[in-house]
Amino acid sequence: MNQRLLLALLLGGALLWWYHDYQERTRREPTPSPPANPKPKPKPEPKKPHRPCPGPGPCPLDDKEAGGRPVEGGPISPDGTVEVVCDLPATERKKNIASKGLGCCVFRSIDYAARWQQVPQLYDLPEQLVRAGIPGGGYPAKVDEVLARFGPGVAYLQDTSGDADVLEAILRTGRLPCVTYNGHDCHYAGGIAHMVCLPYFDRQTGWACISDNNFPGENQLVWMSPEEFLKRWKGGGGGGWVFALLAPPPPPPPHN
Amino acid sequence: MRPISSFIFCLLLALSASAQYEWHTFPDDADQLSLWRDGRQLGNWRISTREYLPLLAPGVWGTPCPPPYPPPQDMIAPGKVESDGILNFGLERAHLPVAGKHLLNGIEVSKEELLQALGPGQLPDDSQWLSLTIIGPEEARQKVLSDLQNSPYLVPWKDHLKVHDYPPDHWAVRDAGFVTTGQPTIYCQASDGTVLHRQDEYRGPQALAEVLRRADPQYRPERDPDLNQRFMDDFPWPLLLGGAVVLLLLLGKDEKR
Repeated sequence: MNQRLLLALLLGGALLWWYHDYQERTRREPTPSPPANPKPKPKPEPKKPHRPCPGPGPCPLDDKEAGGRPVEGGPISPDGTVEVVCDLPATERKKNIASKGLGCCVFRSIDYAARWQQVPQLYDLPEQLVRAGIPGGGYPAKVDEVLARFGPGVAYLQDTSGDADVLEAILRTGRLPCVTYNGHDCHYAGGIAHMVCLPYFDRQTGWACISDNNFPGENQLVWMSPEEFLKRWKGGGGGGWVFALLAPPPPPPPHN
Repeated sequence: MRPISSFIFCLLLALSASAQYEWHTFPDDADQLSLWRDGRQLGNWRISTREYLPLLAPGVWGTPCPPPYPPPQDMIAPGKVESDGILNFGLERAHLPVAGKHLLNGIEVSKEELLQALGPGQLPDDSQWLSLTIIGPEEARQKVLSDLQNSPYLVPWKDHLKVHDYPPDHWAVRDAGFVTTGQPTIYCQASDGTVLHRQDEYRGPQALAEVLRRADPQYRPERDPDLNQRFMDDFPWPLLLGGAVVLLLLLGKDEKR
């Protein structure tokens, strides 16, 4: 082949390659570009082997030993594999009170969620009800009324379908769900009508954890299997009611 | 026999003594109860704070102390036993809907719409957004928040950031490892908590917008448009020159011939 033609073809090819690369590099996009699309959360790692019990007191039962039944504990699950998603400090968790003789568990739970998600209008909501002379006792329509009065403009959702997908969706974004709960655990021998917060629920890791406003101590969270929790969520009538604020959760701890 | 009779005597004495105490409500203040004995007010119990203040003299109140007589349980303890034996801590069971509903801000929606409020769609899934956290005195925080709402440099970021502001002593930042001494301290974090940027004073909206652009994982500086650039500056001159050389090579005379 003619050497000159070969050289021209090579040079032409190099120019085409350069031009293509140049176009790629100088392609214009609207700025500022929005942050990256959400990536799906990686699947949780398989459970670690059981941690040895240091003693001398009785060791907490893990899920298999307890059969998933409720066990009292701190922010880490009894088998040490998971930690609550919403770790509201015990100093921010006030005890439930009554207003005009009726308990304020629904509104105390909302108070916890408000503190976690920084919605100051709803801090101390039970105390606000007491001061306003509004009786305790809550149900979805009353929550609508109370929020319209004490937190106008605050965005929230309620669901009474008993669909566990909704619980997981709320926790996946770091928000704190408030859920109905019918007891039968280490704090209540019998049936109760109550609302608590749910700082952890994941059917893949096999754990659920509730934060009870009657027992707000640092190590008074109650861990159980998701199945055990779902029975208690739907067992008190109403088929499983969940409330959540839509304000964003606090930032994660900083690290490099 | 003697211990039993003295026990009964003490019990009767206690009952008669306690019978003299009475708790009264206030028609104009639902948060307080007053304790009375023999027609005299002894003190007040505030329900919301669970505090008892003794009334020492008219208009003179003592420091909080335990009340001499327990406040009525139905006023201070939230649990109430219902007719079916259920201990109720604050649910109006009769009003709980049996049929499942999905409600967003009080309006019934479909399950998809409800999940969209937490995930992609109407309200974006913010779980992967950058966190912008402002920590400092109220005035310093307000300046940044105001710029985030109003400055043309920062407005494009308004709906793509999780913005929080805290005073330095707030629980969310105080014990979580955040530096809280800035005026204000501004953190930009990835969704996993990685600190992408930190500054300990506010340098204005333009500098903050630059930080956000750089922290954005999709940001490519070479793709920034320059609207002042003229057409001739933009023309691929190397391509034109290279093309001319190729033409010369192809059309030029072969000296060997």
